Amino acid sequence: MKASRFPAAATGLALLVLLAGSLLLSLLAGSVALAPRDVLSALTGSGDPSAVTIVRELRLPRSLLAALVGGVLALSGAALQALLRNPLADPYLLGVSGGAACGTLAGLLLGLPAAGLLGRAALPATAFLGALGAILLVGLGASVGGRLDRGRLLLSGVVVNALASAVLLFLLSWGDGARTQSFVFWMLGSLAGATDGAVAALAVYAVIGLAALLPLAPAFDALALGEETAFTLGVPVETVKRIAYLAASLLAAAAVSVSGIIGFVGLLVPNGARLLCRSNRSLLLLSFVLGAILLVLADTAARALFSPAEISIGALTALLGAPAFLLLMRRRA
Amino acid sequence: MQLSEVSAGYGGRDVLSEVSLSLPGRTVVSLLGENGAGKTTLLKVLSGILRARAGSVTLGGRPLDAVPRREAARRIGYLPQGFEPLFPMRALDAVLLGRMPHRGGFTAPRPADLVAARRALEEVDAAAFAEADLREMSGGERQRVLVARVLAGEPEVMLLDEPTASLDPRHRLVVLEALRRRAAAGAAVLLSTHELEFAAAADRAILLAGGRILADGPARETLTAPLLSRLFGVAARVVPLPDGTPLVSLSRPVE
Amino acid sequence: MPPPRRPERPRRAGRALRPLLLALLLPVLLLPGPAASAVPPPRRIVALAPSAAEILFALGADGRVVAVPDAARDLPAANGKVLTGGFTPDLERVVALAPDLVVVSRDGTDRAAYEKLRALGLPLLVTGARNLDGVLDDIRRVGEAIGESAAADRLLVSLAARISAAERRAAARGGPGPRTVVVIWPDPPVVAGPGSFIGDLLARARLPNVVPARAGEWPRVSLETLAGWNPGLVVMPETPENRDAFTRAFAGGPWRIVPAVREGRVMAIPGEFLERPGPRLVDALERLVPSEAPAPEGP
Repeated sequence: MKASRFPAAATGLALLVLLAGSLLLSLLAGSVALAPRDVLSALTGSGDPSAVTIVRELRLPRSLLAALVGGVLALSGAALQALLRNPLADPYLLGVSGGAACGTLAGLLLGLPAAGLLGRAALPATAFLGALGAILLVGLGASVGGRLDRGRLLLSGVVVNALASAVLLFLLSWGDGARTQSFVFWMLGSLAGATDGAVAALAVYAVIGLAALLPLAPAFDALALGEETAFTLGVPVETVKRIAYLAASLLAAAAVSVSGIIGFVGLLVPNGARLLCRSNRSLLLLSFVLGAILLVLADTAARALFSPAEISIGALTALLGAPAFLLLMRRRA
Repeated sequence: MQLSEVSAGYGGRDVLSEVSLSLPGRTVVSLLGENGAGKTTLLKVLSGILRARAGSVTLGGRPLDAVPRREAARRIGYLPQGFEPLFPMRALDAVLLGRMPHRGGFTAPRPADLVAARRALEEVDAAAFAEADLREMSGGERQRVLVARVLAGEPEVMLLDEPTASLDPRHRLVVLEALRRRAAAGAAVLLSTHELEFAAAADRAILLAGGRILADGPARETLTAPLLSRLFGVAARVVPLPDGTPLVSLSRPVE
Repeated sequence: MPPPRRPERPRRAGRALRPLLLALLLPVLLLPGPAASAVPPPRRIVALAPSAAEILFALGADGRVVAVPDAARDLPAANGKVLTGGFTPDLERVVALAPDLVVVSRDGTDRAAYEKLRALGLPLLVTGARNLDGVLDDIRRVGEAIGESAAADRLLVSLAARISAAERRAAARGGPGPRTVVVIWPDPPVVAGPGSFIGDLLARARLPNVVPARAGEWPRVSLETLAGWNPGLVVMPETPENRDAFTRAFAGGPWRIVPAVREGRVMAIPGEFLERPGPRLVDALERLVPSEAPAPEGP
């Protein structure tokens, strides 16, 4: 078996074409039926003004956001799997989802959106802050004598997630009905809140994440042989672990704060990508692109399947992801 | 490399106490001892993974701490005990990772790296598995690939922790031959082992008991019945072969 | 029906209400409507909250309303209109309708959604009634925005008259009426606090609310607490959807610990009057203070 079943350049090109294709496909789906020709002309800005608004200001930001969220989650998952040396790791394992959820609910209950302070950026900001808090807690809990201990990382993540659940349950039972309902909708994961600002912000995070993680790819390969071996091969193991942890967690936090909790993407996409290539250099990039394609298609399905009703994207990825996960586990055994 | 009065351990408890030894080039040294005697700890101290609590570790006369990470990685090769691959990994890629210290890690393997990797695989008789996935090999095949990884790096010092543990007799000797050839070319090889024919075939044997060196010297002097009895708590008989190589036979555990 | 957060103290209406209200309305009647001549009144109106839809229909703008939210489907004037969805409206549909005015409710429409519409450049009017006075204010503002100020004023005058009549009847009773609780949902029990718009109605009807202000606007309470408050009158908003739930709950064992339920002192008011902060709250108020002495109906 070769390191990559297909030549890298050709695969990369094919995937980018696939991504462009799925983005275009997603622009066709929506509660208002638009003919493909109209969609294309609306993209360029000509044609019926409502159609232009719908395509360029409603559908396009949403599709772009789906691509970015999918890519970012998959990249985060790939990095975490390398860091934890476990193909079953997922971006939410280390407390990010719990922290973001607590931040969001706190923001909702404090009435931040109504106060209009940060406008539409209020909730993503609180979600991100919550996630940051969780990341710090987990990182602190896992540091043993200056080293980031893998086992403790997992444990801390579990504990912080449990703590977050407890806080959430408390706030939910005490809080006001409408706010808590908004929160529940957020938890289910939704790309409907796509704004140009969110797309831009997430794009920045994606670029930073890629810039931080791609150079670490050879280190990840060495880490696969064990931390000690990697150390003797000259890899600055602790630094690599810290960067990987921070980058992966921040990516996940950014994604969760704009789109709520969309699960299974970070877990399954890297494993799927591994079927196509093995070295981490390609794996990280491949996961990003595959994640983007997957989520764009999933969001399109969520909108189109029961149109005009919209299935929550988080529910869809869970419905499809859970059986896929079981299959994955059986294959490993 | 040299160890001088080194004490080291984990979590405040010393496993090694005041160990001194020297590891010169052009020798194959075997490390013997019971489980828990400190063999692995010793190897970790030498490779720089574990810092000594007391004493000094030097590489070519310089303290190991003072040697830059990458240079140390180029000059010292380490093979830990036991490895379970969790991710798919091609054998050739695993061996190529051994070349990392030579190419800084961020660049693609150069032709020289590939040549070294393939040569290493041939030396351990694993060239046929170059394209296979580590997870799909038998334990012995995988072990040979991992040894090849160390060989490919062409280090001056090779520290191997039970490198022949799961190998069949033929391949045990293939590996030993490969290590000997490297030593002849100038390398210092230290391998911990439980196999006494191996130890007998090495140039020097170090017996480690309770974190201290029990004996350190040429095989025929250290592999003696009384020392081995003390070391392993078994009844031992040693018969020298015509060329001087001790032939060891262990019969039963004793108090 | 999203409950507002901040409780507002309901204003106590005294006997001088009617002339007071007229005095308040007079400036409105006399002032020229702002920009009444500058911009033509909107012809394609989208309502994104049921209360907004009710107000628009009450002002006679049915012909100009092109879409209503799903929850307003039951209104007779909503027949044939495009449905825009629930709390979070379907933005594509709204944009495709090319409206020249979108009326939303601050508590009844997803804020992120209507801010997005505002960002897309659609003219937006935000209603925000949290009590009866707020409803009247919303009616006035919507009337202005759609160029129906005259109709709005007429509606306001008639509503004001009915409100003051009801308040007078309440005052004529002598003392306060029976301690009351309005039960929105029986299982788990959710009740209307004094800060809610329903709480405002109770105050105007001089029916002391057993729910304390500190409990919030739509608190969920235990049956024990409710029994402890011992209301003299239980009011329930009855709809075809909740009728079964209420019947089952009140007939069952647990609710019997509330004496008012045990003894049948339950008043059912049509749910459509109480569901949303719109003009029909006045109908609910009138039911709370009926012309004759109230004959409590069973569930």
